Amino acid sequence: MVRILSIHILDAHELAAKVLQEEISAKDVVSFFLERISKINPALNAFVYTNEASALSQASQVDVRKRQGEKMPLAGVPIAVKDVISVKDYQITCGSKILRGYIAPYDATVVERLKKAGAIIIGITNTDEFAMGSSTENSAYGPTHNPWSCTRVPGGSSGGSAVAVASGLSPVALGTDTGGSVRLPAAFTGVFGLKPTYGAVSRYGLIAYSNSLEQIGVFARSVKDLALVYSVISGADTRDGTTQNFGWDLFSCMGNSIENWKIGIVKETLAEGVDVSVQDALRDCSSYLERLGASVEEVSIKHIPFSLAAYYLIAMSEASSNLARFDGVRYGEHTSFEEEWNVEFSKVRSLFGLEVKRRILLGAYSLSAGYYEMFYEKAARFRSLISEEFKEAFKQFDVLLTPTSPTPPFRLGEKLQDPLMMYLSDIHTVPVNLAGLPALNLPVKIVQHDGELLPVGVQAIAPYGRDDKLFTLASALEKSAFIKKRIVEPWGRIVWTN
Amino acid sequence: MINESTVLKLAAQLRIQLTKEEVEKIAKDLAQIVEYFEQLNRLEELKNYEPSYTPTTKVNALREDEPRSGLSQSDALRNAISEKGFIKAPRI
Repeated sequence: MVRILSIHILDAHELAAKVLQEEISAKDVVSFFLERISKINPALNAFVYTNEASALSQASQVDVRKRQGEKMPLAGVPIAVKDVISVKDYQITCGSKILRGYIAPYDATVVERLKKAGAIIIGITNTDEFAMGSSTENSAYGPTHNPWSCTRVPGGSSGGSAVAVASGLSPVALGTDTGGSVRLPAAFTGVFGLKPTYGAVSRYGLIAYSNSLEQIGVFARSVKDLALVYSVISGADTRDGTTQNFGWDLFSCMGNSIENWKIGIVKETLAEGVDVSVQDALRDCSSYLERLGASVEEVSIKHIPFSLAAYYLIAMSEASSNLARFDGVRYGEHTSFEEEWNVEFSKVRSLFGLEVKRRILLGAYSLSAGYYEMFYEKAARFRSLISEEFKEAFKQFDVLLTPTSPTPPFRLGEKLQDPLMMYLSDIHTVPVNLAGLPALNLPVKIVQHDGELLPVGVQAIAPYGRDDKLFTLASALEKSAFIKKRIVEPWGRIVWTN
Repeated sequence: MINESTVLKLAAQLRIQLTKEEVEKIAKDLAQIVEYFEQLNRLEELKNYEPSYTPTTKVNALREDEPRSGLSQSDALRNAISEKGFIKAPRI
């Protein structure tokens, strides 16, 4: 029997192997992580909801299935799920007061697939309200803290999931990425964060923010774990008409060499405003890739700087429509029945936070008569333009690299007063969502910044449908030890590394 | 372009009650953000591109017209205030 004092340092694939080989039971694994969460989560607020009874019951079922000989690729593996993805019988609030008390009556497709593979939903993680934010400070249930520093944000909006993985509260986690909400918190906490090609993962059961931009993504500390979870959740789903199969064999891709690969650094993302430590990290990464046999040069994607405006126009417009369903009637906080429906709906919808209100109003404005052509339609044309420019770049390059964030993790409260300043955190990540491309945060470096040790990430972008290239690249960097694994506990204590 | 009266009109249309402070703050924020958005209007080249509303190439994803199970009535009503199997809503 394996000692269960430190199974949090194990990768998901290692845990699954031990469970299948009967070295440890799924129930013991889950009990261990629930206890670890109860000890460490209060300081971090990564998890906003756990359902111990359900988790232990899921674990018992996995133990039964294992004894019956079922081969489950994620047997007994805990996975944390962002508070916007439906998990049956769990409270899902989207980080909002308006859905307080909502118990999801069904599982999202990704959750069904994970459960079928033997994974256990260990808990629900914090998010900026309705996934609108870049720091997980906009949650109605309190901010999530970065385990690297008590004064800094973990990034957002999937901050809770990133922190859960970075601090060993769960080996893997799901987030969502509409404009960088998986990649940015991955960079700020020092883990891998994958945004799939648009259409690779079903959005059935994801509470919609911006349908044409978002994808459910994965956090992990190793490429193999990323591949394992991604293979389980991805693939066509008849319940989401935007999905399709791409047919990758991610595990064999991980063995491929990157010799002779052409890697392009997007020139426009090294402009003013990018912190020196971030530029250095990107430079270190490129030199390393050259040593591994790839060639690295600069490439221009001329209109990238305009992506932020186009992104927010589209995201806010879609959000304005998607959030119309929250009227206090079918779910969440209820209206009273005193006044007529207009008044009651308006009262209950005042429960939205300020950022959400801003986006709903501005989205509607951009879609309204007289402004539609000037705003929303222009953004939609820009979407075609930037997709073309990426396609052109990919004619010459296998993957593109940019910083994930222009700066290391910023401080709590630093960007809350000026919404535009917060939006600018996404400047390198949003172009990817407009074009529907796959992208991955590579946790390349820990830097000294303002007297603290903080993670910095590099973003790798692949052509539409070529997520496999990201796995090949990441695996090459990981195998050669350029990327290390760490578990960090509050505050900044690296309790384990490889 | 965007001022407090615009915000009040939008809030009424979108059925969101705002406090006076929220109206003031949102009006200021939105004016600043809209100014930022206007940079797209400087891009003459956009007229050479058709609008696209999704990155996927898939169209008309249909399935066979076969009935499938959905939520049970009790699951569907679980999060609502219900009476006699109906979801209760405010009066019109």
